Amino acid sequence: MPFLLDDDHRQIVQEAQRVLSDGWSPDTLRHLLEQVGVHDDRFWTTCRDMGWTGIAVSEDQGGLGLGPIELCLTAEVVGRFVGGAPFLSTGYGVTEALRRFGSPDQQDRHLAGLASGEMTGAIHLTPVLDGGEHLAWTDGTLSGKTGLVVAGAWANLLVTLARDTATGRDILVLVALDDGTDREPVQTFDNSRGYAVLRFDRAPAEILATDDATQAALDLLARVAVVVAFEQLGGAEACMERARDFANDRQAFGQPIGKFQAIKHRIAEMYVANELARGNALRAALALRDDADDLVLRAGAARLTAIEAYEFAATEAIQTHGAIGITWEHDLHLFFRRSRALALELGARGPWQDLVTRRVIAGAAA
Amino acid sequence: MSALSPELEAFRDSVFAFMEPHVAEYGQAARLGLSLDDDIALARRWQATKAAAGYAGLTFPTEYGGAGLSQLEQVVFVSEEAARGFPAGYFVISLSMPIPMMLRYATPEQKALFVPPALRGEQIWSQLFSEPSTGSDLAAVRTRAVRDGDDWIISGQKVWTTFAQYSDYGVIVARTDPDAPKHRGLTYFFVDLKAPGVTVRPIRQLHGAEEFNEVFFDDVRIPDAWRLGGVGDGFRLAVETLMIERYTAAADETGFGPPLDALIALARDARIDGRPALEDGRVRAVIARAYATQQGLAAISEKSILELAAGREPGPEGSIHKLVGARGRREVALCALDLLGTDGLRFDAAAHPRPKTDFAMSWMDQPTLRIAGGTDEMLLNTVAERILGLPQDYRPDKLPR
Repeated sequence: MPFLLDDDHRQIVQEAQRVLSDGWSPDTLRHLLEQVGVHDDRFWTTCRDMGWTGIAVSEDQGGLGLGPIELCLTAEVVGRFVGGAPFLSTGYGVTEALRRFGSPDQQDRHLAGLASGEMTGAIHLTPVLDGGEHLAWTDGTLSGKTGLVVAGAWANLLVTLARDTATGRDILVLVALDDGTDREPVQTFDNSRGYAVLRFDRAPAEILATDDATQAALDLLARVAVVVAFEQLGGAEACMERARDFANDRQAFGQPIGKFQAIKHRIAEMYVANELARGNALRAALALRDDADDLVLRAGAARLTAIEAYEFAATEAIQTHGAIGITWEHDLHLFFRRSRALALELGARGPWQDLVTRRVIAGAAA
Repeated sequence: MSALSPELEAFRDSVFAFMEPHVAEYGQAARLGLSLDDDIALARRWQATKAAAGYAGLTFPTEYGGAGLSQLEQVVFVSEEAARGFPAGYFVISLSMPIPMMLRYATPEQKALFVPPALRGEQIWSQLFSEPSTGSDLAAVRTRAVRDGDDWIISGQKVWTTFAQYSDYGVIVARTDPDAPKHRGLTYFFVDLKAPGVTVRPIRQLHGAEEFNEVFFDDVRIPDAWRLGGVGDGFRLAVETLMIERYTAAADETGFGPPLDALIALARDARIDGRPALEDGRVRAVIARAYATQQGLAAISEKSILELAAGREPGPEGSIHKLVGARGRREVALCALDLLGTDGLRFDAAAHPRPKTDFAMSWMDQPTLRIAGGTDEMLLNTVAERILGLPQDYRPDKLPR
């Protein structure tokens, strides 16, 4: 069962919409595309000032004491403006890891800093999906090299999956990143995400207590994927609205191009894809709030439809605009790039399809 | 559905208790292999059973045999009914287009006469809009109704009339003023399909079954009292009728054909290149996509229920179901037939296969699903124009004359 927005929700969305549209600078975002290891500081300051970094953190731990639904709604608005820093979702992943699997001491040390935005977090959990190489954990230290980690260029804290060399078992590990960390920011097609390869050589690291680290990593990845699904939905909506406005405005052959079914049907198809994604995202947000047993499945459905909706809307919004849509000066490539970046950074479609299918098959057998 | 109110949960429990004892007689398994005639006979008995228990016409006023409940109860009931495969489909048009229009526009005496037998399944009503020369372009109908004293004389031809061969009455749009602009020269009536001058001819569809009909009107006389709405209001009433249909369709998640579990069962037995098909990435991708799409549709339905419960009318979002369902059905059915290999060719029309239980029939029926009740193209127009505010197509028929 999804939910309908109430007045409090609407106020959160309107306020987020207002502050982000005030400070929005597509020129800055375009500039950031050509820098490595730089994010939109103004955007991040707004996030901190608004308290969004601590939306889902309780008040006694320094947060706003709202919940994941409010975070999701905020993420949707952030998606509409192609947020120029990735920390809201990645920080949420680290926050949730601490809340669920951290000791009281670990929580005391880190949660307040994450909630205020003074600290930023990154997660490296995709090996649980694609079987990628694991970092090695030996006697309280971490060694090895990650793949591209979103926010890895700046984050202060990393939650990662690692393999305990003594037992051969997967564990969940918390490691502080600082100036001494070997970070290699990587040139990508969406540079403000701060993708970096991290290398560790016997770096001190703490275990996060879990019964089953694989399950815990999936659970965390699913939680972040739900928030990101809302970000994807917001981006898809923005693309659809831009396409619609352009089609209503642009004249060709003596009429607005929106009169041509080839154009209007494509925009209607964007709406259809977006509504499917929204339905799944809303259900997943409730699963998040309720810690539901089927969270991973709900998150998977939300992620798959959100990936499809955003990539379709971004690609076809460009097509609707014609040649102006393929220029550097136009904003649409910001969405186009982001749609693919968000489709990749938490694990690609294939492994997520597999995750969903595995659970659907298990349900069918039961 | 845990977010439903306690009252609605209690209603669902009562529906559950009512339906369970009837599964053996009317459920999916009982209907396998039945001919259309036999299935409709079964459906009439099920409809009468519902009526006797107070579950027919849930949203209709009690004075005409309904239960006087809201759309919420209706959605709950229909979803439980569909889950068990009960034969309710033959009354969907009857009870969600003509009869609601009768309730809105007929006289109290007419309602008392016609609504209760329709609710009990004794009479079935058709919708007679499409014609050989016009389908989506509803306002272009040519069937004429000419005033003759206190009567009207109807002549012309309708087509694609679902289940007309089993119908007793129907609502019809006819041209009453050939000189008026096309949207303004139409009037809406109800007609007796057993009357002299009415000829019903079933149309055989591409899969061999006969769900649609041609209906010929050869100087059929009806009283002016059978006119619904004013003379010239026909187009408006016809559009209103179609909006009722779309609204009801929002609750129907059956467009996908056989359930996903049936595809999984097939994939469990099939092998691709010597390996279990269930491990094949292509098959797994179809399962994941279908699941995510079906869940998205279910969420849209649930959201509509919440909108209803909050006292708001859901918009034309119901159009999404038919559009997306038909596409998803094709992908799933093709995957299933592929897995069967040459066995996928098997199709025995004499066994009366149904789209919900037979993948070949699901595939064969898919082109119908994309056209009947509003083509994909018209649904996309509806979304584009009514929801997104995009302009109408170039419409030379609307230019000033």
